Amino acid sequence: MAGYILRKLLTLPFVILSVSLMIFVAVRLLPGDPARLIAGPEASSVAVGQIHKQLGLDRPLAVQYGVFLARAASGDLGTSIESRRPVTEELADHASFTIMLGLAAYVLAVGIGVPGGILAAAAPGGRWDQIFSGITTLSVSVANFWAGLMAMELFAVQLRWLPLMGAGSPSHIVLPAVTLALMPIGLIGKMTRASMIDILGQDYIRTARAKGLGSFAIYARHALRNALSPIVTIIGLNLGSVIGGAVVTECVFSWPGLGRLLVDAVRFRDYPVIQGVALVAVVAVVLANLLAEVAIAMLDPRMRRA
Amino acid sequence: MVIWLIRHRSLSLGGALVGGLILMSLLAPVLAGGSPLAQDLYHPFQGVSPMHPFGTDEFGRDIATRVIYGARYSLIEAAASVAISCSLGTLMGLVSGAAGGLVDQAVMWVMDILFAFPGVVLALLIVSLLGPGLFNMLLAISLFSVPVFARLARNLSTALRKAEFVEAAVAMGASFPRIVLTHILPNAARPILVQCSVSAGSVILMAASLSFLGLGVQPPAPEWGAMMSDGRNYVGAYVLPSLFPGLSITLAALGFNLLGEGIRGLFDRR
Repeated sequence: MAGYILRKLLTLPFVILSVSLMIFVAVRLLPGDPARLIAGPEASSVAVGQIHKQLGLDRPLAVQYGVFLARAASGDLGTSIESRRPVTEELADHASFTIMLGLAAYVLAVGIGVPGGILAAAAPGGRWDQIFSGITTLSVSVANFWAGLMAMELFAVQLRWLPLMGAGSPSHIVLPAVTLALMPIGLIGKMTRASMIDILGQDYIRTARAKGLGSFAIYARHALRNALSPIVTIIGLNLGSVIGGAVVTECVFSWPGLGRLLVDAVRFRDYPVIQGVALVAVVAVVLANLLAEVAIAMLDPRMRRA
Repeated sequence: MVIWLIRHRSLSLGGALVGGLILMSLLAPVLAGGSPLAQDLYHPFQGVSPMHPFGTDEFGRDIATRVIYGARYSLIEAAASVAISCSLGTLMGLVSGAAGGLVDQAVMWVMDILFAFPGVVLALLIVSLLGPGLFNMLLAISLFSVPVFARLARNLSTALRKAEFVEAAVAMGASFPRIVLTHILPNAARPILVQCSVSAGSVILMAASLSFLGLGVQPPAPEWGAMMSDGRNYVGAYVLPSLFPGLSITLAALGFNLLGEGIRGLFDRR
């Protein structure tokens, strides 16, 4: 088991290196000159040239990337052009909000999707299965920013049950978390149902039934455990779409997380911040997939050999 | 016929929604009264009435007219982006699966890196690089769906490469392009078709999200996401300018998702 995790961990630096190179090259191709942005429109070209030197933008791209990597390794991702603060500080300020929102959405998605999918798989074609497949199809099709705005209109404006936007109190998280959970509820629910139906049709489940086991023992101990690996995979893979959803959701609800930081940075062409947020997002996705693979290997010894 | 439609609910409902979307785009000038850009500054924020079935927006533009014309944008976005990502991804996946070895590993390595980017973040990066607009947004969205098709096609292709009829073709000296095009592609077509429909749904959502964030199609164009980026400023006072465009986005995405599920159901039954 330790060997398996170690082997997986060894591939991590390569993935992160290649991703950081891609982000670095993409951001450097941005139209517009960051030095000009910092100096302001009235600055002389000499002043712009000096800032170029200061930032190291006059050096070859390969050297710039080397410097970027060396600094990133020591925890320095540059300075925001907009706020003039270190990018790592900006990231740290906003990350906790996105993590909170993401966790809340995941708890909702797993809490609704997994039990709902198991119940649907218990009687395929039954009434609950039909209702649940309607819910899941709808929840992967709904435009989440629209659902968020409509929920805001209904629960915050009309009924006044919940706060409109921002992040002051615990009740502020309810609407954004539900909005963000919509897509993963559908995906996790569908995957749980499909995986459980697949397992419940197997011979050893019939054996368990025949020897008189109660349905709780069959579902919890025999079926769910074997159905779990595709479910865990989809939960890990989902992080990418949850991060994407968080970008939109945070903008709708003025939630001060990384997504809003990114959208604002794109508007101001604040390239060190864009670079930083993209890097954090990709590393998070890579880590989540790794975590999912390790979890599956722990659940299912057969997967360790792959 | 009726029984068949009820039995294939996903297929018929999805087909109806997608068909409606296509009809709306084709017949927009007939269905809508006037121009989607026509302003009437004396009558902003009108409620629902026979003259304005969906009300009017902050410039007094008829929301129903704008929603009808907006169908064109969604359809173009879905069609263009799926055409690009499906052809590119399928080609790469089929060749990489059929060739195997180093080619396979290199192509999948690139795809894995692309796949690690959360879709919206990748699209934001590309749009910030190229500037906002319909064309750049389509490019960004297409790029993010390429790995989905590449992985699917590759898995189908690696499985088919070991099939007896493909091995027979190889033994008879068929060329590599011939094997990929006439032996592997037709047998991989069905799952790829299903993926196309499902992808069209997520493309519509993604394009609307980017336009909503102000990075895709720009107002005053009657694109549904762009309409909502204007309309969201009035939520709380006037909900109609956000309600109907968003509902249309959702129904369009639902249509393609149901159609994909329906087609898959047809194939699975055999």
